[in-house]
Amino acid sequence: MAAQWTQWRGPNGLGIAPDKNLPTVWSPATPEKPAVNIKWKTEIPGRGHSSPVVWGNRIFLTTSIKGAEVPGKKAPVHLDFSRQPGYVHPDSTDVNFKHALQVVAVDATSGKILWTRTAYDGEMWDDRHRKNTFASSTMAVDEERAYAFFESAGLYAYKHDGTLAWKTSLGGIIKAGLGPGTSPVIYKDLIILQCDQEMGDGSFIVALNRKTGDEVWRASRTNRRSWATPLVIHAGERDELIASGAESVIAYDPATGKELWRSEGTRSHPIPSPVATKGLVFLTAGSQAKVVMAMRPGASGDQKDAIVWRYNKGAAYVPSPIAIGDYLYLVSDTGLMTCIDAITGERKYEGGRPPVPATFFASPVAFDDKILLTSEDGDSFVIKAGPVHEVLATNSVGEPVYASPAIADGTIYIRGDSHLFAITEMGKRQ
Amino acid sequence: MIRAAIAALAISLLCLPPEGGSHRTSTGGGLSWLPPSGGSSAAAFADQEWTQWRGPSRNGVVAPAAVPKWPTQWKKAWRVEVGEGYSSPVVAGNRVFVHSRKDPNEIVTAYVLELGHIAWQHQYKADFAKNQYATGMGKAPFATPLVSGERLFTLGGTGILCAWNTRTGAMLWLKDYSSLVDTSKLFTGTAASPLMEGGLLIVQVGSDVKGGQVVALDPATGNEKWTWKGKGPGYASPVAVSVGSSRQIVTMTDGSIEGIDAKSGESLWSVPFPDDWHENIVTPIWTGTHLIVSGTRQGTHAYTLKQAEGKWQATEAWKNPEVAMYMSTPVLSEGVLYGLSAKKKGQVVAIDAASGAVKWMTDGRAADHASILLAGNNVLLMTTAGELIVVKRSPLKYEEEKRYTLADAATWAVPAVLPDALIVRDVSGLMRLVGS
Repeated sequence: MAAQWTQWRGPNGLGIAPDKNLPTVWSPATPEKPAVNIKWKTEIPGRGHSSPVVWGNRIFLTTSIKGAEVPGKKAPVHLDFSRQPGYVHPDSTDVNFKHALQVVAVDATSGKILWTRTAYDGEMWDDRHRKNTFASSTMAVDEERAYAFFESAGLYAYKHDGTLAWKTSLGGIIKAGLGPGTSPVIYKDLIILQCDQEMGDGSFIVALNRKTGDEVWRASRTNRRSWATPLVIHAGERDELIASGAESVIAYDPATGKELWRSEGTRSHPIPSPVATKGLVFLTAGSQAKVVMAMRPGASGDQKDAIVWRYNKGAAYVPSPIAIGDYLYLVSDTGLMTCIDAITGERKYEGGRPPVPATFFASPVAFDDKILLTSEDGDSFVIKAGPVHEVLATNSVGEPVYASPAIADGTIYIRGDSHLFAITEMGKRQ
Repeated sequence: MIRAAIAALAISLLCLPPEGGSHRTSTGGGLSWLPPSGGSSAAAFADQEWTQWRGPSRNGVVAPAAVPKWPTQWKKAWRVEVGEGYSSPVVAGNRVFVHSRKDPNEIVTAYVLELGHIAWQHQYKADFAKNQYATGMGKAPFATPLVSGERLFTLGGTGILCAWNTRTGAMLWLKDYSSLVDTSKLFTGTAASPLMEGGLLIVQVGSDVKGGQVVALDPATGNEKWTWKGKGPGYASPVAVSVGSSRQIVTMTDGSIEGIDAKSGESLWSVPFPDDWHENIVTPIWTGTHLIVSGTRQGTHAYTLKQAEGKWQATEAWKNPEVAMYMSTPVLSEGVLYGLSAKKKGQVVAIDAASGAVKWMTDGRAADHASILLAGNNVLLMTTAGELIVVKRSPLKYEEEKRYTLADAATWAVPAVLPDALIVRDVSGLMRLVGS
């Protein structure tokens, strides 16, 4: 069966692939040595931190091409935490440049770019963080269409052959001049988007019909700007959409948008996405305070008791955690790992670290009881899953990496600063 | 258990007689392989000194007389296997002193500079519990020995401090600080190189778990003169600086920068410099007006040191988070710091020491680590990849003048730069290279 990687962190949003036959060692070609287990690498123009998504033999990803300067163009007025206007993040940049926002389709066998579509080309609505891009939302893909979300610049559905099926605008979404982050989630015939902005005025979660782009439901919320992608889980008899938030964590019925329960929020910036295992869902945030909360879904109303355990260390600013079987794994921005028993909250280890200093923006993925951590420097550390930290291998694609890897059909896809790498077991060669 | 084993080391020293040197070539009797005392060969080596961490002045500056003439290539005069360890070689009185390890012992060896023969060698048992997370890292010794007069001081990975007679190899005294060393959390082993200041031997020992100490000892006896206690060491080596009339020991702990009175050991000031990994590895640089420290996660920070109402204060003067040095200590020349930032897998960088402004910075992927020295009009970078990069000492632009491959194996130690040779320690061996 050709496994798909249909959205941010894979079909179930948990970052775990069923593949067993993946390589744990790879390296690109250098003048001295041939490539190891690199099937192909393809240059992707522009900048984009969106992860690749895969359907069958096609890979889809987004990118942004910086264009002409728009002299005098200013970002919208941002609010600080006390709701006073005039807040300017010191790292915000680029609202005064036009950008072309593009969707790129790549052939999984050859690595050849099949088509490139410019979804939007024009002025930007807001700044971005200098480390962010205007193409940071990971696409979603189904059997017919690939969905590209550019936040303020709209949502675009392309057929696999590159024909535009539909497009829609959700209006301006402003996030303190730091740029996009949340990714679309597929649920049944819906595509769901979490659109929190500024200090909560105008925040919403919306579900659109995948075929037509028509709005099916919209839940208004008062949560401030977030970059997390919501997670659909099955709890008891029903499905729940878990949306992270600083003021509250809220579970919605993904079919109707009806609020099911809410609990205490992350307080810190909601950037990491939720994960789930063993009947619990885990919310994390790492800036400024480190927050990890294990919650039990399935209840209703205001749930003070939803929090099963807490842990106040080890959580990252940007990367999401990963939960595999019995354990929740936290990876800090500097690569320190913590392993926690998912059910009891008991810490199995903390301070597990990669062999070299590293900083992390990509979220971990896992396969075959191995966790793959990919650093800003482009090093991938293969960590053994389980209650004892062990680094099994260290690899590099030789260029910076911000996007989370994707895994489909026996291949690991790593998007570097300028190339997309397809990594697969190439067999023993002479 | 480990502690018991170390305590049980009970100084079972194995002293090899000079004849034990395996490189003896002469078949004649006596010590004919030694250069004749006072002879021409010995005289030629008399001024060849590289006595401590980062060279004779502990600042990475090669003495004018020792600045190489940059030959077409460097040829191996000799190479010997020395065992594990990142401790840098030191040179004095026609000897190269190397601190190394062959499990379960730490070894102190004096090699004859010209020939690479063993003049004397001692080893002692030092059970080293490698940090479980430091998988890519080899074992200690990490600290560079110190030569002062006729004494050699070595500080091993487990915290065993020894004084040796440089000529005879006789052990003068031993202090065991291993009870303070615990590598079960983040600490990976004792690394601060001993310092001589005001007639006192200064060492920094301890660990994040057990706490740290800066200890001043009588170099003749090993008697402790003062002890500062605080956080565990940060791997950087202490330096002695003059601030006005005050003489201070400045060093890094696992979470702070410390200023300690050099005479009394009294804490003068302390600045938090926290790090997730407890790694503050770069040796602080005192420019005369600014104290500059750097970390791979913290970036580069500069402080001014002032005394007001009898109290010392360190005030941040500037910071530059884009220049983030990991293990490579920079060199200072005419107000410019030349170093290696760890970002983008290694960017060679020149920054203005007074403002922190970047003068120039290379694109990246220069090196995992480089030992950086200043030699005449050049900045030298000895990279872990075994390359010696000779860069023009210029605040205007990065310009490589020469690039040599000196070692086939990983090179972490600071090379000793002598008037006519380089002493290079790679991951397992020691070599003398001469220009050709």
